[in-house]
Amino acid sequence: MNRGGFMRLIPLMMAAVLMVITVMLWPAKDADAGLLAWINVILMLVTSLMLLQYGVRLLRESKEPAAGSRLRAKLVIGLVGMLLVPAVVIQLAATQMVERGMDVWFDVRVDTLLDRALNLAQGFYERVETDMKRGMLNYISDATLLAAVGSGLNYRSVNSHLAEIRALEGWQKVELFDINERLVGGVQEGELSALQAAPLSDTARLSMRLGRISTELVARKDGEVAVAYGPLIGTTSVVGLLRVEMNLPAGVIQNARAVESDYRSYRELEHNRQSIVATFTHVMLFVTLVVVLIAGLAGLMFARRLTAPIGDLAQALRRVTDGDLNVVISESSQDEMGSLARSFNEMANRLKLNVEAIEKAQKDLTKALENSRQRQYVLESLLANLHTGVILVDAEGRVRLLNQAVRDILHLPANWMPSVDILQASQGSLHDVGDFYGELKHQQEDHLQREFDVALPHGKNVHLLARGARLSATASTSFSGYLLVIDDISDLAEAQRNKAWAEVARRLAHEIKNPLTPIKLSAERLQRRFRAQVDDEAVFDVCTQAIIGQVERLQRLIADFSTLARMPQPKMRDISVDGLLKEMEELFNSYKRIDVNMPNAGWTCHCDPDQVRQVLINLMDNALSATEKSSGRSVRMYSRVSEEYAEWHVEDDGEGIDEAAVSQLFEAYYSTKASGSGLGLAIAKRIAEDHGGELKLISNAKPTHFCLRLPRQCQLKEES
Amino acid sequence: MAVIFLTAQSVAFAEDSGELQIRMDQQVVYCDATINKGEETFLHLLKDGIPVTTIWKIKVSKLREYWLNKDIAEIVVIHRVVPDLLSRSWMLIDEASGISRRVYSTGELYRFLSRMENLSVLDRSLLLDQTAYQMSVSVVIEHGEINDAWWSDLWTSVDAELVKEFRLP
Repeated sequence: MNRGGFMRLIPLMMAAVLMVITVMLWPAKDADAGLLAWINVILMLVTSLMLLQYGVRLLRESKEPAAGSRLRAKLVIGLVGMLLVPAVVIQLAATQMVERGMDVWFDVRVDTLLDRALNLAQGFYERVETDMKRGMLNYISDATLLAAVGSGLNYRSVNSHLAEIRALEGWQKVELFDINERLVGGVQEGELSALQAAPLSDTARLSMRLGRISTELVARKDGEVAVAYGPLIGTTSVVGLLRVEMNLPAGVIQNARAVESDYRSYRELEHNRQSIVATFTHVMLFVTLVVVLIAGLAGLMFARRLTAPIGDLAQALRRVTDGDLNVVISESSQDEMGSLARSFNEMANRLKLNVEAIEKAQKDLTKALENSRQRQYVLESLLANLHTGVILVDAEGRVRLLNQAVRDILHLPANWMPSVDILQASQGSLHDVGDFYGELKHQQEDHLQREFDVALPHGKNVHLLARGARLSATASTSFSGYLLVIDDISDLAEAQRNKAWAEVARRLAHEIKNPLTPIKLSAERLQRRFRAQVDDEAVFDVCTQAIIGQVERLQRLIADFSTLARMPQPKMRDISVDGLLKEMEELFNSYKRIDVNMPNAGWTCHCDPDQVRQVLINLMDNALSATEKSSGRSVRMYSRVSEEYAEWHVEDDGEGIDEAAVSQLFEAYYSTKASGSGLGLAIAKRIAEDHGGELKLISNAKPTHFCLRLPRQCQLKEES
Repeated sequence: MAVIFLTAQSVAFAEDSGELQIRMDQQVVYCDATINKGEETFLHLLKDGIPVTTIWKIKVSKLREYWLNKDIAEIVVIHRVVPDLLSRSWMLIDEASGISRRVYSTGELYRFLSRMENLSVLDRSLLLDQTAYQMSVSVVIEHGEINDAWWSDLWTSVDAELVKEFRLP
């Protein structure tokens, strides 16, 4: 058991001890101390019950004691203990002293002394009585007295004889009564005899009846008197009574009575010896109990007053620990506790202010973080939805950020993750980007812009515009690195090329088309007018025919250029998909190697029929050109229609297209045929794009497969 | 006047502490009481000159079944014996009447202290017919001087108590 647990048990132990003492001191039925003993018992019971209640409360509070209760209990127990121990010692010492005092007071020598003193006093009385009885013996048969009670003498003679007797014996008073208790005569020293004597006492009557001399003491106002009764015995019986009195000496009587009084007092005290001891013990016990009780209550009040501020402080600290900073404790006292309370209040107030400041800072930080997250979210959304690729590289060359557009442009694999060294990762499609980064890193300027082509897997090339900037650490951010921005400008480059070609075509048409017609007309005129005049008509015909043929070729070339340069606006209307196939079949019915497959399902498509027809003718021309040496159904044409799209497919079993030419197949002025302008597929692709569709090369050989795919409800590209 | 003594039906003993008899004539109810205290109880004090007093408290109450008994009468008789060591005699004092007498034999003082004979308790007219009453006699033996202070009666131990029920015949 620890020290605190033992301290909590002290009140219970004190209560148990007090109860045992109470049982031991329980007063007997004929107890000497009486009321005081019962008062003490009640006081001890009350004290033990209070201790019991206090001890039980301490035990109950052992798990979660009230603030300051332990200190209060220690103070109370200490105060009561400090008072109880000396009180018990004093009680024991006082009891011992009383016991010793009693032994001294009731010493056997005192006892003997008092007995002897009383014997002396009693001896005086006995002497007086003995003397009176002896003197009385001389007169119980006195003839004169007998004669007097027998009425033989007159009153004067009787009194005279009585006076002689009084004088002789030294008595103060002598009276003579007959058998009927009638006063016969009487004399008294210094006074006249009373005519009427006092009635006889029981002792006198008894003496007369028994015929025996007896004495008694009579206390009167003027002192005590010894009275003797002597029966006068006649011949046969008692005939009268002689009563004599003798005043006892006042000094002796006073001393004798004092001895008697002291003896009585002494004996009374001796009889009450145990009662005195018990009374003293109980008085001492009562005083001790009252003092302990009062001291305990005063100690409790003092301890409460002392520990209340400590309890308040502990309670307040507990609340502060639980997070409640709105704590103010009383600063009423001016002592150290008041100073402590003031310091605590000041500390709590400062703590509250600090916590409020921290909460405000936290709120601001949270708000800033929220804003930062929002900005980051906006930035990430922006980067994710941006078609421009963005790569952020830190100073160590690790890729810190890479948006989806980069993956889409460069066809990066899905498992390609940032946080890698860009130079180490510069392989495949990232090789050119890595070169660009290396150039930016090693140059002096902070910005760099380059255009380059990147070869993607599957033989596709993209034309990229890369811009880079060096990021330096600033006051607001410690990040330094490089920002790379990549744009896929393949379409833009192609559009620029188309535009350039259109400009070329417009100029060619303007500068070349006009002279061609007079050249052709002049060649035809020369052929008509001068053919007969030339020596060698064959050479002449060849030459003029060559001029005419080349002019016509130039005119067709210029017409194609014009078409490419000024593509007319599509005139949209619903046409039958199969109808176009049927037109193609009729148009090319002279070619037996064409197989047109028409499902005849009645599908329609909203498009410009003339332009679509031009595309199909171009595809059919190319297919027929590629299959001149083939036999059988080497050219196949068919359609596919879904809810959204209409598709026209042209396949041929020709030699196919080289892999290297596939990427440039739809570029203007690119042709694999010697007599081709290179504008047919470019125009066809532009028509498809103007309809919101596309012209695709499905396969470049075996079979060579082109597909024109248009939305069934297509809108003009410019309108969408 | 012819006195008709009607003797009560039985003799009461309370814990062998004494004997109580109730008698009544046509007008008065009397009681005779004796306590069983040995002669030595008184003599060992008296021989040392210590006065001994027996205080007899006689109370008559009406018995009630569901409530406290109703007091009808209560009288107190005090017999006091003061020894005279010088003359070896004893003064018997009846404090109620003030009558005193000196005796020289211990038998007389023993009877005086331990008995109470023919004591008139109350007028019979105060009692109802066919009603149960109870007479109780409590005796306190004091020695030494009697304390007349008011608080001395607060704590007294009764040395003998005699109780007896009776009805009017």
